[in-house]
Amino acid sequence: MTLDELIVSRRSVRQYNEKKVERDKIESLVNAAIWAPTAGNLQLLHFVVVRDKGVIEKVKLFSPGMPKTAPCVIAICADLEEARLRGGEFAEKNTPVDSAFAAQNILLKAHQIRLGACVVKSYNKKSIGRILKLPGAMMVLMLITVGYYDKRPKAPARKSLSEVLHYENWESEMKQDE
Amino acid sequence: MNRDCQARIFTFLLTSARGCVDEPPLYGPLRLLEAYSLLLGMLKSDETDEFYYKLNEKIEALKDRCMEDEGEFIEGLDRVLEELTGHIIDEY
Repeated sequence: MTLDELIVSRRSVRQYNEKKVERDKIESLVNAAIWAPTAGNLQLLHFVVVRDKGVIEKVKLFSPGMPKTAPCVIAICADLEEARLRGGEFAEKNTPVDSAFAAQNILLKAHQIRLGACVVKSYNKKSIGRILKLPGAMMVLMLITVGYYDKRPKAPARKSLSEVLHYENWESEMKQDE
Repeated sequence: MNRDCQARIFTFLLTSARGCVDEPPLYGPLRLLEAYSLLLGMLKSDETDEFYYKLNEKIEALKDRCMEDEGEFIEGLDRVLEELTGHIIDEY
């Protein structure tokens, strides 16, 4: 698939089958995440991969937005106090943005290797932090469920370019002759 | 209801209650639908009205619509509630 095809055909997959996600595939996802841009090149993100059913069940208990049957969960974590120490308020504010860049790389890489994935933001940070035994001020910025799937979700509607694209300033219209 | 089920439903409800403070408004109904399915799964089938299982199939299909099409999601909610109303009127 070309990059354009990958971007357009990726879906948030919320139903997975039982097949286990192989370690080399998980590592290829995290490797993709490592290469995402980070504010000030601070590279503060850590990735806790959970495959143990018991731990996933516990994570799920405190994550109302999590799909029912996730065989693998990647928790993107960072220590925002460390971010502030190393990069000031700028880094503290932008580390969650970095986690989104990393997440998009994971989602696209997963799609490329025929895995489904879905970002989960509805979870209790403190509870998940305790379950994953995160040290100090390390916290979960995002959860991503990963797994094989049988049925690909259909595409939700997307806005058209003309609804969102503005050239030069807000009031301009798209030029047809370019 | 056994202790495992108690942990599931109470944790889900309380985590959802806290989550709904910050989350998009439409997540509230979604969490309530999820609680319906969770609770139903905990009931003994021979003691439970079959109607609620049939309704749950429609609710399961509805959950995905929440993210894909808000209008359809709300219409679907109205439809399941209409069905439930009919059932309650007929049965009680």
